[in-house]
Amino acid sequence: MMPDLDHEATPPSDLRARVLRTLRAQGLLRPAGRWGPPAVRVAAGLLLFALGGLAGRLTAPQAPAVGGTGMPRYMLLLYADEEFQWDVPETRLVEEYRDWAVGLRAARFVRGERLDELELMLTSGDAVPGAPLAGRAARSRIGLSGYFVIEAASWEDAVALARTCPHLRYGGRIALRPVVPT
Amino acid sequence: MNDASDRSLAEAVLRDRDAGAFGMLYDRHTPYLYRFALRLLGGDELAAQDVVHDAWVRAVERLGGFEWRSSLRTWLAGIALNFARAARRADARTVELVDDAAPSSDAALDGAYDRVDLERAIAALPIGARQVFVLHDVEGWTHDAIAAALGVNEGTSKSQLSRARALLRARLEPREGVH
Repeated sequence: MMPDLDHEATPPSDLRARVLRTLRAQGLLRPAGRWGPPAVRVAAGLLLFALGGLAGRLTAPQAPAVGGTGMPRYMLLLYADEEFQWDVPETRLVEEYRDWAVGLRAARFVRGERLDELELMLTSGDAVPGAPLAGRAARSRIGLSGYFVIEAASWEDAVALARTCPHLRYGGRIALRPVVPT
Repeated sequence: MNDASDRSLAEAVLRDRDAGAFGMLYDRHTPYLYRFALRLLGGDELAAQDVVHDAWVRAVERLGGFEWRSSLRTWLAGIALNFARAARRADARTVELVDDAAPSSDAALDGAYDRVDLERAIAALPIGARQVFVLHDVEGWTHDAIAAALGVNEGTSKSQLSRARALLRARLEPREGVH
């Protein structure tokens, strides 16, 4: 009978970037930023994604048009609050979100956009809406920070893909929603 | 692509130097490798990170020569084991494997211990006993596989396992009476 040693110890998130840097430095993986023209669009989009502010709309190089693969679409709504590792260097986020998206591009990645943290919640009864939340105030509550749209063969497949998104490793949360065809 | 096999991802890494494919392999196997290294190294987190880093780099360097006779994870674990042993050889506290430890009861630990206590007790084992215990009782390796990996004979592996179990039992025994 094996001892009941469970799985609490997890590798630090920066180890991944360290390994990738070494492999790229040794020429064992393609250097960042040299993905070829289609992938550059992905990288550029996700650069904006990570930097925030401007929305970086991107289209996957081999992603089908709507309904192109015949697979259903799912939206990954990325949420973040004060639990998110806001102090993670942006370059690392760029690299990891890009790697994730590029890894999906073969058939499934459709688009992704970063949303500014500035948010104004409006309701029909607001005569004078309150001030929009931004900065620390926005980060103290769970907020929508971006989204991805993917195509997946099934709900289970979409869940499995979403679980690999680096957003989770940095303390973010992902709400997965099927897109209803219209 | 997420559900792609290890082999197809490895081929993408080899053929296209595909970082996305490598990232999937990394995410799939690194949690296991890290815990494996952590236990072999007695809980030394920085050393375990170095081992995982070096193991991945070596693995990608040699991926073309991997013949898939074992699973990728087993192969990676073997590489990590070598780096963990090298790390400990460089450590002045290294205790060499011994051949003359008398086997004691071969019964496995019964799992009645607190997991955290058990992790700590494993970390405190002498390096030789710890390696064999982790490989056999935690990872499920056979004695002949351990002997081949560590460069010792099977008798040494068995005696080190008995020694490890005896030390763990002695260390954890006071906890048994506390309920």
